[in-house]
Amino acid sequence: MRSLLRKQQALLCIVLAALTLSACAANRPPSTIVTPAGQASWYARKAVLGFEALGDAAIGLNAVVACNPECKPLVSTDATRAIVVVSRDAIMALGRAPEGWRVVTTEGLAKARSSLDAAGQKELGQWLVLIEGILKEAP
Amino acid sequence: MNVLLTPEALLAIFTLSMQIKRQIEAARGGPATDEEILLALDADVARAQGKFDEWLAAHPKTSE
Repeated sequence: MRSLLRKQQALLCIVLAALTLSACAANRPPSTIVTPAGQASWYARKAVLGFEALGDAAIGLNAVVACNPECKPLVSTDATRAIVVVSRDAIMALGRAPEGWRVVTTEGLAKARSSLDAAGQKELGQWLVLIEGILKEAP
Repeated sequence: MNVLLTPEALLAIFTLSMQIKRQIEAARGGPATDEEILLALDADVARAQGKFDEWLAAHPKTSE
């Protein structure tokens, strides 16, 4: 039983680490996107996909029930709802004004962090790091 | 802390990770012109908004 637990924990760590590494690799708009509006939209789209991944992660982890010893979702439904609302609002704002992507992303991240309790931050921290990576790689 | 996950839970996590990986890859190999990026942004916003609205409708607040 202990061996099974270790294997499951290792699998989780591998999946999360691979996701974070692949998402945070340096990336810039292709040279064929030439206008400032196009380049802003390129970063805005990355942020949209980041917030979508965050919301998807919350929904997915809400559907996973872990027993230790009592059984409950890895992320509570209330926390999931808060994250989904923050992600949806950030995505809509990015769609309306892609040129403001940096401000929207920064504010969305702050709201996501503040809406999570300690357990939620632990489970979703990797996805918050993913979105922070988008901010860091931009000029 | 030891947490025992069921095979269904592991499958859900694996499925989720693959979904996110596809989104990341789509972002990398995506649109290459100004017109394409504007269209792709609109499409991604509409897709994500629709999905999250659907989840919120299915999980209304019950404490209020």
